[in-house]
Amino acid sequence: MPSPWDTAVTIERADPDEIVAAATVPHDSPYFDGHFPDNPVVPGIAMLAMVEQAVALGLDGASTVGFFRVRFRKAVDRGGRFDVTLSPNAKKPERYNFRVTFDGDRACEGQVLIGAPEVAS
Amino acid sequence: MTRRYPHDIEEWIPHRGRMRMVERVVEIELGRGLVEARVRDSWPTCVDGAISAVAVVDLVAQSAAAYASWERQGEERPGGQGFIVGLRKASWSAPRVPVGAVLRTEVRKELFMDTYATFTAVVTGPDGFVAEVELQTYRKEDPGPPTAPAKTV
Repeated sequence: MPSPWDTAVTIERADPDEIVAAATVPHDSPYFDGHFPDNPVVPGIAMLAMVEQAVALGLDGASTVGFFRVRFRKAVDRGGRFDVTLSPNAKKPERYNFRVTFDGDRACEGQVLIGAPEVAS
Repeated sequence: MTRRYPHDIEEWIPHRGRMRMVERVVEIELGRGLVEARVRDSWPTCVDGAISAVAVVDLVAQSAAAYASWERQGEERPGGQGFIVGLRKASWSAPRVPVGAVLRTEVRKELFMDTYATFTAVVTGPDGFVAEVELQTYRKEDPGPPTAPAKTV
């Protein structure tokens, strides 16, 4: 059974220089349960969690161990399509640059720090 | 001026329902606050008995919102909505945090200019360090009531 927090991240393309994934936040997602009662917007952590999932799916189970230089560009409502793009950081091999767009508009971008695959306990 | 603590944390933060994570203020003084929360299976990203460490970023944002609401008590200028506009750094010791862990977030207001502020935070749990986060926030000026809690994306 999928998690209620699932944002249906799917890898659309995985090349050595770029990974592209798509995601959605369903209308009934618990992310909107109280964020905020009078003004539902997709939380920043929902977009970071999409990046985390794209990293795991596109990089052989790699884990996300941090973020750097993240900018949230746009408050987004429910219902649209998110695209997550990852590309290797030229200066720091342990990092990937990422960009999240919502219906084509930049919503969030930054760098994600990649770690070894998570070991099941 | 004497600043009070809230009876209910929802007086100080706008998050509700499953998105509310902060439970109580342990202590606050000018420039620094310490808040506490127990990881629950209702928390965002929780699956199979643990949350993603990514969710700790929102815990820090809520802790910063609580601090900002405390600081604004008694100000003539009313508080408005607050938003995370940037994350200079967030890193953690493990990618998942188990349900039941009691987390303490020590948040410090580092820089501010008009409506922009930077908060740094260290989150600790039963086994020590959990995460460190550096947030950049923006607060809209708002003619709302002085007790309106800070809001974060």
